[in-house]
Amino acid sequence: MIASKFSILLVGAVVCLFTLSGRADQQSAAAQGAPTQDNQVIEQVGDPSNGFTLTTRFDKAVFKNGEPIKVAFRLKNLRPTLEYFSRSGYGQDFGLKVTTADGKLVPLTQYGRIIYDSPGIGSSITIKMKPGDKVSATLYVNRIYDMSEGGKYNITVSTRAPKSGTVVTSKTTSVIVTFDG
Amino acid sequence: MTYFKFFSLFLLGLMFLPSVSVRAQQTDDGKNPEVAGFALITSIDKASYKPTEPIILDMKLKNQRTTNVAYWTGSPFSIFNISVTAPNGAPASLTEYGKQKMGPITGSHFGRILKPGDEITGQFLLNRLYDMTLSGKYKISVVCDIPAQDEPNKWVKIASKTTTIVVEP
Repeated sequence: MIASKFSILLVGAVVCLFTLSGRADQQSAAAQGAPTQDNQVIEQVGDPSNGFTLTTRFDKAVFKNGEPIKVAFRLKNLRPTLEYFSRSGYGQDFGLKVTTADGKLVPLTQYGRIIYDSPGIGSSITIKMKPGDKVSATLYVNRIYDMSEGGKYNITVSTRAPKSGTVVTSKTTSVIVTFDG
Repeated sequence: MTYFKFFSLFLLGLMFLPSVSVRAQQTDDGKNPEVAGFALITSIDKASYKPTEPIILDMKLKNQRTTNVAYWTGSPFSIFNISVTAPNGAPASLTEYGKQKMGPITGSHFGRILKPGDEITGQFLLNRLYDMTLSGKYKISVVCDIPAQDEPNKWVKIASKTTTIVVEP
């Protein structure tokens, strides 16, 4: 009887341990921007840099068969002063860096080359950012970078802080691209 | 009564909705091309795509002869030769994946007997193979090699109709 109670307790303890270790793994992966579940939203706030933070948001972690990979991001003014941020119509005000799992830079698409290799195309406007104000934008990563190969990609967004020109960088998010067949 | 009429019209409208969805435009001479007893049919489900939306091309090579035909087949890339013209009129660039797949054909080929009415089908995710990130009109066509009808060991080409699609800005 005692042995049976002990074995039930032992099984219970093992199940709890497995559950806890699974959660710890997920939390650790989420902290590194790695996908934990296919359809899980990944939102990460970047470290404050020169009075600004850059937050990124992906709708999910796994993208199938060439579907659009959208990254939404917002730049927040943490400075106590009014700042002026210059926006460009083609998203050139925000830089994207995409690397493969082994750290290789992913080549630009035709569209990406036009955007990043031709600075100054399109019009730009200046936005006033009061303390605490945010500027939001979205980019379609696989329109700018050639992500035709299946695998894991690491994506980082960056921009330049007004006045100082210091680079403000988001946390790096990992997404997985898969294809049938 | 008016309410009933409106409801009937609404239902009728719903029935017709699927038939009015716009398919990709093809250079239409009324018939699919037929060469040496083979037909080559291509189809794309839509005429207009948002940037980065998957563009799927379906292809079908059909033996319309009344006899069996010996055919060499391998991967779909060795059977269906796709041509995509970019909005600027130049051939569309291949993606990194496309460079691997559309380069020199490797892998095994094997013989197959195509009975009358048999088809070889293929489906490609076109914008995984070709860089179609720029907005504008793209022209798509496919060519296949098929055995000539009356001359043994000779192959002739069959070309599909050209399909035009638009990638939106």
